[in-house]
Amino acid sequence: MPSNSYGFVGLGAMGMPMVSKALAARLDVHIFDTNASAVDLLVAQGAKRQDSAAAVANAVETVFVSLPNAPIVEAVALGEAGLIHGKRIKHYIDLSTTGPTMSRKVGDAMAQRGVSVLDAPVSGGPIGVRNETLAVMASGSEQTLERARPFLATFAKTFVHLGPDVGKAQILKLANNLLTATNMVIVGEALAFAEKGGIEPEDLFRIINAGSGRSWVSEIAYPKHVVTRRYDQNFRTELMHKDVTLCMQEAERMGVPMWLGANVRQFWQFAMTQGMADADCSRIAALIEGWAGLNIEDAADAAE
Amino acid sequence: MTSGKPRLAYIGVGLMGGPMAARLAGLGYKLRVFDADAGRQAAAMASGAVGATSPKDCVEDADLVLLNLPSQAAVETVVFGQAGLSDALLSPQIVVDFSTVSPDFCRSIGLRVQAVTGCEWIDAPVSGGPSAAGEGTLTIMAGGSDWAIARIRCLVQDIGRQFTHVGQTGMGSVAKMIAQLVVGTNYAVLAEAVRLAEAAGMDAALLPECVKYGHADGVLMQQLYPRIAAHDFAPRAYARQLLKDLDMVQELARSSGTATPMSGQAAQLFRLLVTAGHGDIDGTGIYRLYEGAPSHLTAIGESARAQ
Repeated sequence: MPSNSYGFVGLGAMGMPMVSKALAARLDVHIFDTNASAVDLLVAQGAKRQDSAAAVANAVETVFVSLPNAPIVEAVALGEAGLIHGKRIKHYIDLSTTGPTMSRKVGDAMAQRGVSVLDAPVSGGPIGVRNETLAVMASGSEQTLERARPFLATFAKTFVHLGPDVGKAQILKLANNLLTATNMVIVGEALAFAEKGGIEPEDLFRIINAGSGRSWVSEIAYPKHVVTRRYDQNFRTELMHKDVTLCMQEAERMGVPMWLGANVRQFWQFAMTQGMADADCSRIAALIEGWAGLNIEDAADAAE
Repeated sequence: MTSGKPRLAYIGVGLMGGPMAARLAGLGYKLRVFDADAGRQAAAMASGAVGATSPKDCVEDADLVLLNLPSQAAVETVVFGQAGLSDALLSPQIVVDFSTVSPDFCRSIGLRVQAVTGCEWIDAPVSGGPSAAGEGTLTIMAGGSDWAIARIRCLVQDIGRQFTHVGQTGMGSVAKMIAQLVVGTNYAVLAEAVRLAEAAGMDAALLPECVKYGHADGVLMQQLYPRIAAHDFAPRAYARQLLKDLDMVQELARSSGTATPMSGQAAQLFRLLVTAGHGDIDGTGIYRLYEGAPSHLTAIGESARAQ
């Protein structure tokens, strides 16, 4: 098996374009996902189909996972047909956001089997993969990072290694996502406020993004997904809620009071009670605008 | 005061003033009433009061002038507007304002009235709602001089079962603001409790019984919670009124240099309800925010847009 062979489990909004990029760079990628159509699409681009996570770990030494939540990571890594039962696996890289607790649990179990572990959540979203500008924050085995780098470099630009402790990168990732979850809400409130005051969104963002209030949310997310009314940020409300909840749980465990964080978590929880769990997270802007009584044409569709 | 009971002028006989005026008339007080709403004035006259044509007309011959008005703007108009009180008031008449207004407003209008007429101003906001107003079981907190307070003691005994002289003019309103901080925040807290009980699968109506004599027991748990659990949103205290009070609490906290994060959050939740077009339901309607049906969200948006 050539050293540029990789395994990948989890072909969702992030995993799918990541594997596409690696295939385009002529890397050998063995894939598994319960979603057969995602697998078919990548097989057509040259990926090798495997029928379980364990089968992937039987085929290659270096395996990535990119999965939506902690229980699924646990099942894929340690479950019955999990990676841990594979014969060839030597390096395990988790690109998911699952919080430090799960990351350490899986890391410890893998280490006992002699598998090196890299905790490597990413930031930048599907757009970041497409533009090859993703940021990778990693903690764990440096050797594993070097093994992973040729694959990651096909879509990531920034790498930060935070030392040998698995779970540390998750803390950094949760801090990042706390800000994203907060900015999504607060930019929505600023937008509703400005609109009700008769200001055009285009003017609002032109000024915000030239000044001290700007963020990725105001520069990219709102202009692209909200002002256009396309709501196609491709990140579900439920996942935003999951990330901020993970952060609050960890802050609670560590003893870090979070005044705003607690409220931001409640906001996303509330949005889910309004039927938005599966809606794109950018639709919360329409929800907030609706509350302010703004006549946004499709605000009523926010709860779809 | 020639007879045993002071002669009264009563201005503003709505949700609270109506039952209070009716009770006083029933107890044999000589009462002249004025309300900008003719229907309300007629109802008060039907219970034994004499009608007046303006605030000014109302106060002649009165020993005490009682106000029960929905907003500071309404108090300002009644006092300094056309045919207002300030044209007619004469010392030693005393104004007793039962309305819920900000302490700053209270001190300011008290000083202005005293400068123009020489009359003293007592702020005497009440707690207990319309039923307590009719039964004479209100809780009254008052600010004013010792002299003025001494002159209303017999009156307040007939309308309340708890009367506290808090301090100088304005201090009754300070106490009322702090009471509203507790009550308004608890509307939101109890609505959360009902919704969580429902969502977690218990019979929500059982909670007051579950916690009776425990630390979560109290007047609000026994009297307010059951109305929320029954989804009874018929107005006793309008949601918009609670929002106004909670906003005044925030203003008092700001001017006093202290932070009030819990009641500040409650105010935002009430603003969400009111902006969405539900200002005229009871404060218990804060529950509607937690109902969680997407169709309800749409209804909120649509009613807001229709305004």
